[in-house]
Amino acid sequence: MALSEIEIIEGCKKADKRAQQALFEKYSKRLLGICMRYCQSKDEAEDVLQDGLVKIFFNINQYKGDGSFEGWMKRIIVNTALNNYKSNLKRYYHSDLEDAASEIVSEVNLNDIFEVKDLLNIIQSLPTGYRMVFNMYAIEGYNHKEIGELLNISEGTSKSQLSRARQLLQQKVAELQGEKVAICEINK
Amino acid sequence: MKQNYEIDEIYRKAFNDFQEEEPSRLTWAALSEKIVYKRWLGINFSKFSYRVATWSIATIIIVGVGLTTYFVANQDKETKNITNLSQNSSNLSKNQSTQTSDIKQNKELNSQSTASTPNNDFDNSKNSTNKVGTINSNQTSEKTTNNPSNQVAYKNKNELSITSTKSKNKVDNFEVIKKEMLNSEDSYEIKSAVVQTDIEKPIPFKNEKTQINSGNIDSTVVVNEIKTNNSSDNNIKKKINTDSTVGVISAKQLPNQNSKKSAYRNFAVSLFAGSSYIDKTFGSTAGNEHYTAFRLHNEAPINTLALGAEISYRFNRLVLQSGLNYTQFGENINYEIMNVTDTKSINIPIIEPIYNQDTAVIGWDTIGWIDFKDTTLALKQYNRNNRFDYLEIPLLAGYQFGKKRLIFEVSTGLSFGFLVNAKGVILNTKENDVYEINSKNDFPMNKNIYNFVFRFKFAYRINENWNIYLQPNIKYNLNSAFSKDFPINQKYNSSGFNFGVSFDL
Repeated sequence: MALSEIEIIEGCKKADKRAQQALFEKYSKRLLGICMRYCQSKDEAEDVLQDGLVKIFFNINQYKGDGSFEGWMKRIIVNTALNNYKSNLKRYYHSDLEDAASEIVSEVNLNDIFEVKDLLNIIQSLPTGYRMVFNMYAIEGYNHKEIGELLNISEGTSKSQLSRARQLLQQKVAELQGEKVAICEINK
Repeated sequence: MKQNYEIDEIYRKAFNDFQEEEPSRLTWAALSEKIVYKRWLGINFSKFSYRVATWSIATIIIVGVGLTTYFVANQDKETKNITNLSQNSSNLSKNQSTQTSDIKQNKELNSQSTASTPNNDFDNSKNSTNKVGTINSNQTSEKTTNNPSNQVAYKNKNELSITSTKSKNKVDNFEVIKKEMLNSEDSYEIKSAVVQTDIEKPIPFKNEKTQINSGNIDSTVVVNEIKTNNSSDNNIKKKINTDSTVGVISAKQLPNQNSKKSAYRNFAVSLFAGSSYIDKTFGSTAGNEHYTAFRLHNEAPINTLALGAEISYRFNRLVLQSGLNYTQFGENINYEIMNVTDTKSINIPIIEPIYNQDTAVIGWDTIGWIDFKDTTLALKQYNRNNRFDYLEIPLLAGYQFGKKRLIFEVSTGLSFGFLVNAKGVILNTKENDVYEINSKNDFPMNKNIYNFVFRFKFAYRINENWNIYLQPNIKYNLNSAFSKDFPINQKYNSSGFNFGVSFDL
């Protein structure tokens, strides 16, 4: 019988293996989805997920029930991804901001349905710094001050990188949109 | 700018509840191995591997102690057998009705020795007729020439041999295979020497009158004590002690020795410095499993300096040691703890409009209150080094083996430690704050600890007085490093190497 969230939390607080396994099975996919946005590959994302889960197991007593448990775990996973990014800063390829910038494309129609996988591929193709800032600002909801503190960059840099990230994403999403339209017309 | 927000919205919606496929590499089995059960000597152990490692180490220690005991017991047995054999040899020669002129010479030598050194513990003139041979050096240099007998004496006698001086009671081909060092050019002391023949058969004692012929002496003969001492003679001849008399030894003139100094020769002082790897274990963790797991995960073992000055007293092969040691325990911590920094209660009124008869709102009425608690949480990070300094008094007993210049010693005992300085932070058991420790008096430090100590020592004798040594050692707290008021029983352990020098007084 599947354990409830409360049973999982209480079990994990007692280092009960059955509860830990239940947590892994219940949340690993969702948490891996977060890691995928911050990492360039699935292998790297799984490494981050592993580290994050170990942190969750060892720090679960700090979760006092304030807010959702999943939100608490997500925050740990995001922090782990950020630590991973910071520890691998030298390894990541940093493209020049000017080179990365491109013209602002036309509006994207929100009614178009994009495959999440496509969007994931696009965001993974961003330069790492852009990807971090965009994820944190647009999806996680951090403000520029917080992003600056967490990534050890200035607020201005955060804003600038977000802007460039958006430009690149729009461009790539528009290209994807064009491809989809073309495919649809061919099918007609 | 509109499109910027649209792209944010696209991603926010797409990833709001996004679930990736199953992890391909990361499985529960792999992850559970990463959830550390114990950390020991800097290695993370799962529950299973920790048990395997613990039992392996216990087995190694038990086998090691067993082999050492067996070795020591066999050595003692061998020495005992050898002594008996040499006694037999003495008794046999004692029964010889006729002594050759060589024996007479020996008697004469022994008489001289007794006369010249009345305080010699090893002198025993009444057994002088038991001598069947002489102990000589294999070295051919520095031979003394004014010896009245055929016996010879040498300095630096590293390879002594015994040769018979009697034709009918020959004891040939003896070789000293074990003895303690002869260091000085002017004096020497042999406390224990073992002589061995190259023939394996037992002594063929058919009756008391059986003569020992060349080639009939078996196995080993021990010379328990050979000691030279000061004398007014230029050349003195000392017999070996009566229990194992097989011959006499001649020695060159010895300088006068201070008898008081000689009495203290069993004392030695030593200084050492070394490095110790400090880790810890927790005692009963019932109810605090998460606390201990959290600390083990977020605290790292350290290497610290160990210093010491000790004095040891040696009698036979037993050694007693004490002195003053400096030890540092501690760990490096890296906590991230969430704690409540502020809680505010906010009461929000529930109000309803008050209507007049025309249903027009003429006012508002408070009909109740809603309580909200606004809690401010802060993530605090502690990246600190805990260091607890102790002065310790060890009380150890040991056993020493030796061969030529190499000495091996194993010792164990207790050490009593007094906390002299403390600095660091310790997580409280609620896991929401830390105890700041800035002095030895701060909670939760325990000012006194006592430890179990186990040491090996590999020493090399440089000369008569000086030794250098390498000393692997382990030490375990026997009581908690924290006071009884602190619910966690924490014991440090250390393993390391000391390098030292000792001086025989």
